[in-house]
Amino acid sequence: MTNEKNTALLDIKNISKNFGHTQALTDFSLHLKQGSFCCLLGPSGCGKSTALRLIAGLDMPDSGTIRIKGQTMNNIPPQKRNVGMVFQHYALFPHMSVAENIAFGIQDHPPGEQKLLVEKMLDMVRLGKYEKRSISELSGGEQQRVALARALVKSPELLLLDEPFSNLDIRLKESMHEELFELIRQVNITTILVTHDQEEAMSLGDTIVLMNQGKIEQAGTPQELYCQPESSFCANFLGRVNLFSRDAFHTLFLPTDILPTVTKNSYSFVAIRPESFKLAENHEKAAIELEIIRSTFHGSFFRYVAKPASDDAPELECTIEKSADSTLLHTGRRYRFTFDTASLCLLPH
Amino acid sequence: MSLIRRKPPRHSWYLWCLSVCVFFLLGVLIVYPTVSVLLSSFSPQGTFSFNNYTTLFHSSKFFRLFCQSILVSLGSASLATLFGTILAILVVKTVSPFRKIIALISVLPIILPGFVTSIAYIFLFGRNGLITYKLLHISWDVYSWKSVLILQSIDQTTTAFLMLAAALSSLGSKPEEAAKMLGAEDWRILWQITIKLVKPMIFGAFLLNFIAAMGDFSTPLIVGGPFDTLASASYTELIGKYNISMAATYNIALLIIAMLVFYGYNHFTNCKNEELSWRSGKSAPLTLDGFRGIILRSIAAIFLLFVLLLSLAVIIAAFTKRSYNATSFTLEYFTMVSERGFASTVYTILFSFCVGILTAFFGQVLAYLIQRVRIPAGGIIDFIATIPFALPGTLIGVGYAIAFNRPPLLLTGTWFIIVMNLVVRKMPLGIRTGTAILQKQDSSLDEAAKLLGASSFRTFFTINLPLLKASILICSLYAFVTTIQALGSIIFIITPGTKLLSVDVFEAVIKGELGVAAAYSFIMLLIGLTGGALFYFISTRNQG
Repeated sequence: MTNEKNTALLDIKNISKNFGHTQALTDFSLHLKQGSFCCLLGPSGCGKSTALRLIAGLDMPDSGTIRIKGQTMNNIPPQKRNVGMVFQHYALFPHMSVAENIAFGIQDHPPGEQKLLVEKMLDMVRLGKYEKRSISELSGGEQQRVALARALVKSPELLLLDEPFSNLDIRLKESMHEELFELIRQVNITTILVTHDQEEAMSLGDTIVLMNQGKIEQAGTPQELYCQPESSFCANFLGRVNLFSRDAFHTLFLPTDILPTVTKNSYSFVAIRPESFKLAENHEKAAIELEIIRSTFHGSFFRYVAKPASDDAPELECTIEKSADSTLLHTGRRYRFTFDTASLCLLPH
Repeated sequence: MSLIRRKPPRHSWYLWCLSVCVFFLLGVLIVYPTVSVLLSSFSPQGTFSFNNYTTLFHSSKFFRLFCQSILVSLGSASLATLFGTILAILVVKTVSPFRKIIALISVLPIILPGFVTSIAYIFLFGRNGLITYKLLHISWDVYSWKSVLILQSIDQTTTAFLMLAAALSSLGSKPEEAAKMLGAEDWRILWQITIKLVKPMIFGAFLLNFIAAMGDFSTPLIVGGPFDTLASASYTELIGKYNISMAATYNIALLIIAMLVFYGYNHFTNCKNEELSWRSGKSAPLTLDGFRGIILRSIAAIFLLFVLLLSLAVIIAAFTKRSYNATSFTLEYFTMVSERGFASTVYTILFSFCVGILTAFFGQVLAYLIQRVRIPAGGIIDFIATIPFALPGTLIGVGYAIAFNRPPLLLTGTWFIIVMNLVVRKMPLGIRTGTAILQKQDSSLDEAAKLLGASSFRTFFTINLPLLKASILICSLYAFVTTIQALGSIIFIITPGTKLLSVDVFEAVIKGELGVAAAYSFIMLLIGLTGGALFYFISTRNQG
């Protein structure tokens, strides 16, 4: 038995989609293994929802191929793809009860089996006694669980989630994240989540595909995208960052001796994460002097906005972890900072 | 009516004054004529008695009229709802080619009122009809209940189509897409999801069509022949026998039926208040192919071809003359029309224009007073102003004929009373539009204006009204177009001095002058078409 074939659950090669004159998606490729969790991340209008709809079969690509388990899906209607989907506002059928909603996809099963399956799904999403409820009686979180149960009841090959958390409040969102994560690990289903929330993408996905203007900007693990961004867009989109043009970076940091000799020549931007900064020890000569302008407290750390001595230099952001020996830096005073040069990101564009 | 009940505000004295003024106006224009009809039905010889009702219930004629009206109205309302629903599904939910053309032809009956299609129908299928006699050489009796049924259902289809199209597009395409992702085939989605979700609207459209068919008197009069209904009998009683009291009695019977049905309509269209919001998608999610798709499209095609045929027939009838089996082009009818003068054309344009503007403006003001300012007894005002929606046209007509033909308000024959009659008829539409728009508009805009020191008055004129320009224009154009063909409510109060095109058409048909009627209809169609084109242009441009 070759393992080759089984590992590639979803294989997308160079698909493109235009709506009229706007290019919604250009040259999109994606390769997913069975059981992986992929997040399509990007600002609104970046093409992530279009990609999801093409995978679902709700729209057809203009070019390129989509394969699920090696089978070409391009001209197969969504009904025959065996793909489950949770819509942004859940799209539950308001005229049906919870049980009827879940059973909708398995109408060809014998009634007794349907009932068992519905009960099993409801137990799984922890809505045990909710069969008879009408949809309008459910809270947002409950609706989401029903939508999930409805999508999973046919045990699809692939689960698509279209911004399912966008209309939950932040507390509920976090608990739903954990629940979803557990559930998906449990059924071991390959999942694609569309989101514009970078924290959500980083905490849930084992792969993130960052998209911008209909194209893939960068794909990789959350750590790769955060620590080794390949573009200023990526550095900016995931987490907070201090971004400098090459010239600004040089005028600011070359005199400070912090920099090692920069070997790579082809870069035009430099990114430094705020947490890379730390207060310089007295004996360290290589440091930059910054004046604190604002400070905010975030529980486990302080965030400072600081300004270098030269007038036209941009403001910087640095975060200092709150620990027993760290003291609050005072606004208006100057402090000497240094940073870990290994965490510098040199970006070509 | 808003779902959130706020604490009733304490009203200042001028709001009370405003409320009293509105009540007074509505009382004079709606309640007074309706009550006049009721009183008149109880006083056949000027003294109070139940005579009319006892003769009514003892005569087999009334029973016959009642059953005939109900049966034919049920039939035409069902047919119209079926056509309207099929057309709306094809236009909104499928990727059919010619979707725009289908939509356009479906709303064509708006400018093609029942008495005009009746002319075209007789021209095509009558004893000397172009199709039945010239083409097929058959002679059949066109004047029967079947013709009434066909013409009424064509006339009502537009209402059903517009209601269903609005409901279906506000649903968006997400429900169908979700069902697709669960493996359901197109036809199962159509039955179990799409149709089920708009079922209240389908019932609502059916009941509305039923009321309209019950109140329609012109179609049975023109193509019904010996077949008559409550509405047409009330016309014959008033105009033919000049028996106001009996006409009033028939109308009261109509009113009771209409009110009962209207209650049902409100029930169906209000209980669909789902809290779930669908984001409307632009894509048409269903294909609906196969044998059943062909049947569906054939039904739609037959309807559309018939409407086109009828509109074409009006034009042909207006320009051709037939003698000794030869058909020739003629302008004779238009010469006759111009000899009679174009006063009615001018009046029609002028009156419809006034009605359009007044309806939209008053509708908006009333909606604002009820929804936002919350004047005292706003709910009752809303209810009274909506009553004319359910009233049969002939009832309002008879009511105005009785109420304003005697002191203290001797107004029959003045342009004022005709315009007011028409405005009252269209007012429910104005208020509904106004309310719908206000509900869509964030009330924080008002609140922001008020916090900045603007009075309610200033807020309305500087914030609400400018934002509503497009909607007001659309509403007034719709009122304009539909007023051009208004007949039932004004036919009893028209005098030679204030004649309208619709009345000219109707009288010409009754006299048997088919050509002249067609010529008048042609002019009416042109005016309606202009208004309709403007309506279409503005409403599509502002869709965003």
